[in-house]
Amino acid sequence: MEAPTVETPPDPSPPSAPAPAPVPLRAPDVARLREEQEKVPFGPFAFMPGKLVHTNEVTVLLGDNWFAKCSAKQAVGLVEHRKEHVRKTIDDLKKVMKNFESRVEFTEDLQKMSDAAGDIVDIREEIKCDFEFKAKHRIAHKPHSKPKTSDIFEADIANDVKSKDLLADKELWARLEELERQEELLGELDSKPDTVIANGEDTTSSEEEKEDRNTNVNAMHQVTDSHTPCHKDVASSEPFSGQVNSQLNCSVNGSSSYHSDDDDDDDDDDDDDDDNIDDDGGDNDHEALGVGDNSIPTIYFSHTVEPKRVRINTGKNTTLKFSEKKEEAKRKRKNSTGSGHSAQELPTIRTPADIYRAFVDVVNGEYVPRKSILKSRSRENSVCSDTSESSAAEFDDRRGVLRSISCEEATCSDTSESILEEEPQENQKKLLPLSVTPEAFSGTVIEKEFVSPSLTPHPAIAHPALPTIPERKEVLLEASEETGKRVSKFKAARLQQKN
Amino acid sequence: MTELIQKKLQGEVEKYQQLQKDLSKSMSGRQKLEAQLTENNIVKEELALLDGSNVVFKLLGPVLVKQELGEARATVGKRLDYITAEIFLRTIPDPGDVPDSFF
Repeated sequence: MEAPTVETPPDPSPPSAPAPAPVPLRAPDVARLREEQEKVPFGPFAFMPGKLVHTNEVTVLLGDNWFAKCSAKQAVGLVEHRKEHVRKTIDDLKKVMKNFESRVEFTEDLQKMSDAAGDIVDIREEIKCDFEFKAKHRIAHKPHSKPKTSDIFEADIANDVKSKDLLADKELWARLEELERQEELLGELDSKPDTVIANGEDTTSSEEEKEDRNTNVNAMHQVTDSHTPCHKDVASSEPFSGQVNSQLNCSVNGSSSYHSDDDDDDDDDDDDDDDNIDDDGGDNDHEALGVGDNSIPTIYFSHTVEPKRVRINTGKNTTLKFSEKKEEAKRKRKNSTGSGHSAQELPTIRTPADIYRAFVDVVNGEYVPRKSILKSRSRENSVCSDTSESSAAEFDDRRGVLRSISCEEATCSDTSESILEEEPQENQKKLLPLSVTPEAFSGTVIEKEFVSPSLTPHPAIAHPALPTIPERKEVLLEASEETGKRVSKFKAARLQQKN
Repeated sequence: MTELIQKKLQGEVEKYQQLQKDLSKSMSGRQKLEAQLTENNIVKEELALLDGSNVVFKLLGPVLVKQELGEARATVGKRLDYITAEIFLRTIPDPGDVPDSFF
């Protein structure tokens, strides 16, 4: 404890304390700063009246060239305050470090996984030139508009009204993109040499790719983990997607029809593609046709040019590419999985779009697309398929898929409805479902004319399946009896084929 | 032909270096301002802790000039606002720099 001298400013121990280091232990709690009247000893025998000044006084640097004289107690308080500040800074820095460390850990894990695992495979496709698709690039509703995220500064500036609509759309797009990517990756894991997975989606607009990148990461993970080698052919669907999405009439349905198109070559189930059912990667159909070389963790796919391509008009502005080779491959595979009823030459029909693909007239040996499958000229030459059983399990999937595509186009809706009508009929007619795996469409198409008004297509086909199926069962029973009177062209053709 | 390309390359490299210099300048300026900002924040808080019994000084060169507490607080507050405005002014072009074509 320093002795307070008389009338001289003592400025004891650390006068300016810029460093937060040791709190002066000597600073007592005495707060007095002022002078005190005291009797000061003046020699051994006398006292003098005097004052104590500058007792317990500390000059503190507050920062930025500011000083303050305060009592020691106050100084202690200031020091404590600074210590708090420093502690806070340290904590923040520690959090930042943790972030970095976790990133490092994640990357290390990724590396380990890619080194060690045998069934996780990196698949690459070298693209030499642009894909020769004639589809238009997808056009966004509003160009340069972005999904509403807090990171993007401009989104806040932009509209509040539009963004809500966009948000719903964008979410759907994101979901669909994710599913598409998943499907592609699943398809890639299968080994069919003809199959090609478009590397990324050339037709996607960049903004959607951006938002999908996040979802894509998750999708990739899921795919690599589940590892279902399912066969998939995207060459036909790629331009289709470009065109469908460029319409943007009904965003959900448009893309869903794309999904359903993709299924036509799949033996995969539709759980991944159905908007209504959650993704379930584990339930995929395992049809291992021999995956690529797994010893090297990279598979290189190359796009093979298909010999014959025929454009088929499937509706307003959409077209599909039909390839003879694909059809044959499909048929072969279909036969190998064993549907005894199917005729050898009939293509597998899994989605309504397949039907369009199938109804291709053979004119002079060439495959020529037909404008409308409801009004076809020659039934004999047309390739219709009517076989393979439908299982009850496929019902919901098919219904789900068809429900989503029903709104899109008139012809599409007609088709879907006709298919829906036939489903209960099939269930009654067919005995055993051969394939247990749920599929989008069993491939059985039974044409029937529209007998009753309840079966006629009506514009609001949002949920054709749900309310009408029980009725239709009865109606179809009647309808089937009526077939004796009037036979539609489809039916005639098929009867002919059966015979 | 090759000379043309080389010249182009040279030009681009210079541009790049210039940009880097600008960047480093901006960075250092920004850092300075940030430091001043935090410091002044601390001073403000500490001044709030003080009461009227103690004397406040300001260091101007070699001189400690006596100040009043209220005056000191006001001054520090103004300085704080000025620094904030500086930071905002000098670094606002960040989102503007990204060209629209990027999106």
